[in-house]
Amino acid sequence: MGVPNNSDLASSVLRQNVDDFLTELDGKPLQAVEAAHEHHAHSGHSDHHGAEHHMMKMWFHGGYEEVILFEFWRISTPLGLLLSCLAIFIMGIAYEALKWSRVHLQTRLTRSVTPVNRRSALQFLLPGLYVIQLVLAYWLMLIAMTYNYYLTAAVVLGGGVGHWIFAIVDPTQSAADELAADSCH
Amino acid sequence: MSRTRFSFDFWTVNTAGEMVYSCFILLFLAIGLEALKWARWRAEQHWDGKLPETYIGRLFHHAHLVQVLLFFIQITLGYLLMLAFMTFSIWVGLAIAIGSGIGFYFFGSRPVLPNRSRPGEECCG
Repeated sequence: MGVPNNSDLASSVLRQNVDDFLTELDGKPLQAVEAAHEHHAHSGHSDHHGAEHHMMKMWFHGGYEEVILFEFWRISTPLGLLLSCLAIFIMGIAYEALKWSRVHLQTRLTRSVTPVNRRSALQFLLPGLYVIQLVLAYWLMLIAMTYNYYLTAAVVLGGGVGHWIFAIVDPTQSAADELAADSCH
Repeated sequence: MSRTRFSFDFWTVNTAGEMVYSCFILLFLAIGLEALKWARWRAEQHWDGKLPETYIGRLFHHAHLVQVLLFFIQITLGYLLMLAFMTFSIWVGLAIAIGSGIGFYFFGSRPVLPNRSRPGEECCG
């Protein structure tokens, strides 16, 4: 079974490697197990994408190592986190601005006395605005799905501040109306 | 049953009993969300026509600030329920759906005030 001193060396190296591996794993046991459990479906999917295989923690965590929405939007520093939170905050405000301006325009279209079959720019603009609103809404939802405390807080705060600024621009427009809301708002 | 986590690392479910307990919590949270939307609507009805004329006046009026706070809680709760639904556990999904249904049953109907407009509707219809 080989030369005694070589196999001793090999087995001690092996033991060292195993110890190192176990120590590394020791720091984060639950994540590895949980992520493996909950994402075995996903890993089958993304394996052909190459070496990229990050573990997703499906519970709220802090920290500044995240990938947000897109491959290129990666943060790994506190500054990156801060700037991302700022951008997301602005996205939240923009979403509310878009929602209320669309509602306002829609009401104006309905209240106008022109016949319905006359083409006005609004009739094409409004569905377009709605699509942009939907895209923003889904992006904000996906950011909340990073389960990062700070990023989710930025989403919710952006929505709240946006609502504060834009919901009472038109006082005759119902702010609590279901029609102006969508699934998460 | 495998271990499930609900959004927070302290909220793990290991037994069937814990799952039932968690589902009841989520059910009541879903009812609470509908109740919150209803409360916002009632508050708005109460203040209808009584808000200041100027935008800045409305911006800082306490009625609007209360609405914003309630809205903030509403979207937080909405996102949390979405994330709980994303655990893909059928019992959780059922609990949230049933809770939303019960909430809508009790808190869902909205008679329209005469001087309020809803987008897409004629003003006197």
